Amino acid sequence: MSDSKRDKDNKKGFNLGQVEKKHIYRTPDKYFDELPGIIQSRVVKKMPFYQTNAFRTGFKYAFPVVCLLVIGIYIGFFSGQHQQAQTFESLIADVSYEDLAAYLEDSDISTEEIIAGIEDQGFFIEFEHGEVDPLHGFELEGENIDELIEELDTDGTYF
Amino acid sequence: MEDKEILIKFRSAESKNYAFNLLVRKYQERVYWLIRKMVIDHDDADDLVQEVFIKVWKNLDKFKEASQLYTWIYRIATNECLTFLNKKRKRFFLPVVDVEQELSSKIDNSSHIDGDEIQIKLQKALLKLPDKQRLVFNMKYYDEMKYEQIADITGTSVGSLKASYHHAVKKIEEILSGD
Repeated sequence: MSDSKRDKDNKKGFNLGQVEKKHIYRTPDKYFDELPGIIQSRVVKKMPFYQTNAFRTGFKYAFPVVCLLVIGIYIGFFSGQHQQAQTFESLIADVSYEDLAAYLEDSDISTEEIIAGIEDQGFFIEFEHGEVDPLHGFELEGENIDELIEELDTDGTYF
Repeated sequence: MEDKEILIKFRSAESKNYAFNLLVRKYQERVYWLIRKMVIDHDDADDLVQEVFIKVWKNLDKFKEASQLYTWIYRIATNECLTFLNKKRKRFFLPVVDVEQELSSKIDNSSHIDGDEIQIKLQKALLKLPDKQRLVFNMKYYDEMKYEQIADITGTSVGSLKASYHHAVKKIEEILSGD
């Protein structure tokens, strides 16, 4: 090499292109094998419970089940009440007038007791053949009931 | 697996963890080396890599695919690096030279560094560059990325990047010529 060329190279100095591209940094053994697991565990730890797959999957199935249960209970409760009301009405409807009269004849209940019981419940009593209770509307308290019956029973219909 | 497939799997609740694991395995080394060359210390790099991927996990649902996935991940990684180095200076009230000396001493003393003399000199010379210029140099020189890709990551124009890299090379050659 001539002196002039050597001088030129020295002036030129260090050339980055002549250096081999090489990493000097090293990692601990199996670092990249373990890193994904470490990151994954940190991510799961930071994730709130309502964002986890377990919650989402559970919620996906639990929510419809709970809804169905609530609807079932609601329907069951109200239809039960309705059924109970229907039962009382149907029970009364099932008893024929003749059976009722026969029962009352056999029982020790007096007519006055029946009338008093029914009137307490606010019912208006209609007797057979569409006749209205002749005692209805009268203030009987303090009156002599026998005198009053004699007065009203002009044609002997009731007694 | 392609990035698009990973993204589709990530958006499904059942395969979200699996997709994220694939994504970490695919990009962990590139992200680690980018960070390691900036912060030098393995433990610091390890912490930052984990933070980068946790941020990826949190924000991947919002990723619009306007840029490539690796560009987006690199952007998060470069931001983490620069923030880390800035915090280091602010926390310890260290001037630039002291941070450079701290990193330089890590090159000398770290058990996870192994290279010949010229390589170690080159790494120490790189520490004399401003952080952003060092980042651009590493991406161009070591990772052999195109200027367009670096521009996407750093948000700098290609022209500025070319000038920055040219100045970085010149400065390093000057430093090493003086040694």
